[in-house]
Amino acid sequence: MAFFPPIDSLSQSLSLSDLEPLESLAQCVPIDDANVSRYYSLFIYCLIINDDIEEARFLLKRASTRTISADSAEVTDTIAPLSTARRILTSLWTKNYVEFFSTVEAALHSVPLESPEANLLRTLADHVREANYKFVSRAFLSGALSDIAVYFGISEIDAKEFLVQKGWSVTDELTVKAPAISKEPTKAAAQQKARFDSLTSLITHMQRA
Amino acid sequence: MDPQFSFLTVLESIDYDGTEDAVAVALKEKVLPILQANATAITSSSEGSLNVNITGASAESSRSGSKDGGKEGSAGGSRDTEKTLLPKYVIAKKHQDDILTQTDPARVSALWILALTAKFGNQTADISEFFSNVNRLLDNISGAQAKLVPEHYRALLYMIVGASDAIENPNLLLRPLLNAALSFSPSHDMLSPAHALFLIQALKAKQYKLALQLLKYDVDKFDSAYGLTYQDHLRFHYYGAMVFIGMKQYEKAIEYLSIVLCAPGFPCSMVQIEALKKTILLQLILYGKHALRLPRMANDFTSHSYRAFARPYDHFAVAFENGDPTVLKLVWNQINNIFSADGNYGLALHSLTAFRKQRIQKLRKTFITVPMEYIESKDIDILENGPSTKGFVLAMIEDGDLRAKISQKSSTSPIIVVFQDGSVTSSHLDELEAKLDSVRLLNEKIAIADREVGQSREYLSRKLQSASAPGGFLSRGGGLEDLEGYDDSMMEL
Repeated sequence: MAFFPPIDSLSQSLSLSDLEPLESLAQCVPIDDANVSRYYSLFIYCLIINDDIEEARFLLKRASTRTISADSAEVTDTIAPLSTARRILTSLWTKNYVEFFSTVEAALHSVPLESPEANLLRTLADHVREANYKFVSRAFLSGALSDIAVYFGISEIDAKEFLVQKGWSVTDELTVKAPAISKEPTKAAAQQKARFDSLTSLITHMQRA
Repeated sequence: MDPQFSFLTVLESIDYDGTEDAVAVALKEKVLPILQANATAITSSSEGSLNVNITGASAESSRSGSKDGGKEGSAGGSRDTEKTLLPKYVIAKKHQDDILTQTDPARVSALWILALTAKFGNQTADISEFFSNVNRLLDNISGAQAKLVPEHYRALLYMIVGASDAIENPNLLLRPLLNAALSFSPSHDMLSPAHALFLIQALKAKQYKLALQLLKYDVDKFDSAYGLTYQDHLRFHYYGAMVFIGMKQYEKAIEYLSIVLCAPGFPCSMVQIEALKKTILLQLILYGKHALRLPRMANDFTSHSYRAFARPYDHFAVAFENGDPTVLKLVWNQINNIFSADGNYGLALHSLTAFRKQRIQKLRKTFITVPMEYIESKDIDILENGPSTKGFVLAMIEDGDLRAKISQKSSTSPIIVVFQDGSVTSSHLDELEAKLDSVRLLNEKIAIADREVGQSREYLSRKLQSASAPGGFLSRGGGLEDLEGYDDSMMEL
């Protein structure tokens, strides 16, 4: 009978290279092995952190349906790990950031502070916040603070403080305005233009040849 | 002398430290004739043939090695088939275990293939022992030696797929199957019997990312001497397209499906009809319209057959292109069960989402800024179960489907969408450079293939036939020197 290593025996700072080799084993162990649910949930978190949400979805589909059923049926005072991972993944997939941050917060309260789950969940939340800040910078010229705060999973007061630190301005009506972008040409932009020009001339040459 | 004794003696006499091809040649010249003699002896004594149980989609390609002569049933369907393999080579039972326990599969892959098909092909064997041995073989297989025993190799691959399906774990030998497919040729550009089988197992196991490790190589060499059939070519590209669809690489999926559609054959195959259905939906998703004609290289005669089977999809595409959401919804309600029956429901849903996106994207042609309320008035969610217009627009911006920014000066002000011009980023340039490199490589390959075809016996005889007809260059008194420079002119793009 296949033996799946205890999750807690693995590295505290888990990465994809720790988890990927164990997948074929996870499909062979008895379904009541609690490690298996934890394994899948951790693997999903790692994939999301590595911006591979598509693979995380496929991994969830690959997880044995029996494993998922066993996970949901667990009667414990902790949140079922795989079901939690599924909710987190679904909320990200549907871009429901309110659901995402609330689920992560609830999960953090239910696991030991220094467990692999807690470490990954904190990393995951920070990763999503950072990605969302890049998106907000790209998508908003100005907007209601209440609309933008949901992308960070923090209160409006904390969001206001966070954005002001990043150079945003906030009006009395709690509307935020993005910082002005410098239009001066940078060295990188100049290099990019030069590269673009050389590629254009190459294509022209190929067309003539 | 005991034939079996001579077999072992000869086996030990081979120099396994030579190159892979040298070892393969030595096996072919010294060992396989002995095994062939064994087979002849067994066949003549009517001890029976090797019955290999084949399950899964691979069953269809086992029926014939020639182009299909008609509809074969839906692509990807599974069917059990007993294929009778008359073994060309036979290893005696007492040596089968010796081969599997005392030899290195990397050195004598051909013998391992023969031993495995013989030992596990005719009986309900210990499946874990089978998987363990197959795993060892496929992780170390020599492609050159697999080519020596193509029928047995193919039979072994079918056995692997069948056994994986029997225990409902297509993931089990997926990586070894990938290795087997990649090891068939050093440049990975030759189609092997493992290619299509690996892809269908990867699809069943939902290992799309792993499948991309095979699909990153363009396969443009095909040799029927290795037991390959027309169906292998169709299936590889069809299943490859399904992997690309799963990974949302729709342009690559259309490229693979067009290869399936352009494959010569009369009448058309069900695989090609399924490919056409998917192509129509993908074209709607990417371009908002579908091509009225098949790719230029497709056979005109068979294109009419395609259209007859894909008529509901054409109907849906016309409604999509007309842009009237009421009509589209009506057509959807009429035919969405057909999409479901064909396994294309998910793709059809994506096309409805694309319809919604394209309506919003079209506003860029008319407006620089537009209030969100106006977009809401134009926005149509056909199924009425998607996000709100504001949420949908933000999602489009986040996914890169719309270059725009949101502006709202105060909480009571209307939300304004400001469309942005596209800018060239370094990732665009990286992509362009990569494409140019692949075009350069493709040009080189085409030039080489052009020379090879131009020098082939079949081509030259056809050219001479047409040339000797009235008006041909021979009738003008030209000789072979007239062909000089012709090759170069053929190489011009």
